[in-house]
Amino acid sequence: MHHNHIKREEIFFDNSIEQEEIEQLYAALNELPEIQKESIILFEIVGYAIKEIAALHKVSENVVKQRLFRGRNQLKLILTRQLEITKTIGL
Amino acid sequence: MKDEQIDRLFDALRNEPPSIQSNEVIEWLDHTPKAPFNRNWKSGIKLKTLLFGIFCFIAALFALLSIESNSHQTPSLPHTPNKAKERVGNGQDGSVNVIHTSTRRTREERPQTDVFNIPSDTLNFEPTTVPYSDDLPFAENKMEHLNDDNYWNINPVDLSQHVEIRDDLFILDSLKSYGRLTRFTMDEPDCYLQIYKDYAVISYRFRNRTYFSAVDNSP
Repeated sequence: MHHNHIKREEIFFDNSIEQEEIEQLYAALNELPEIQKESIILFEIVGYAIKEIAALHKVSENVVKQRLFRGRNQLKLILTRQLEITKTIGL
Repeated sequence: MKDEQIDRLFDALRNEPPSIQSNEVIEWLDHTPKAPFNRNWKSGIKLKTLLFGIFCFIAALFALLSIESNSHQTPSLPHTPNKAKERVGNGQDGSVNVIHTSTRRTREERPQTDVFNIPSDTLNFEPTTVPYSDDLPFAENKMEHLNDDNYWNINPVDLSQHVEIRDDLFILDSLKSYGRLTRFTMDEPDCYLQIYKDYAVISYRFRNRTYFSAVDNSP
């Protein structure tokens, strides 16, 4: 219990993640197709289970998993691109 | 960009400290013409207010007429008309009016700045029984009830006509930059009001109750 508390505090005060990175994540989310964006938001941020998202979207759990997988891959690409642009501007 | 980095970002997002931004609710209601309940609520209230006014007028007229006739029939009772008039002026009709206006306010009457200024401590949601317009195709799938197993996952605002706004209302995740989803707690720990760009949904999650046990027991 105590350990979990410490862990949460550590995450809470994790200064290595800057607000700019979170903003970039939001921006990247906006570039995703609507249904992928919705699935990722519900799963990663709101905390819905895959079962729940499947019931919500009236699709199978495999479809939800596929959307999450593709969405994450797309996010990685977008964020990598953003990172490269930031580095180029920084140079 | 690696998976771990994305996970780290999502972790950071989930652990963002809650912030009190209750006025966003009212702002959203006032500035979202597409909100399904918004226009219905407004027009519905107008109609109900009009009907209620007509009803009150007719009731008062009948009351006065009956009092008048009683006073003519029983002239021996002193002060009766005066007492009756007092009842009409300060009695039930007036009380009902006060309750009515305090619990159901038009959009213009609602405070623009602070949701906690709503006297009745309720934010009124009108049932969204009208079909959704074609410009909300995304909403159609989401707006259907998922209560086959007595489970309301995400439901339109017709889940309850009155959503209690309490002092512990706060926004857990404010995705303002994202601009699509705002989540905050309501009066129950597992009840969320989610505000999308075009509409609001109330989400009740009954974990470990009917829904999940039903799903888990299914073959």
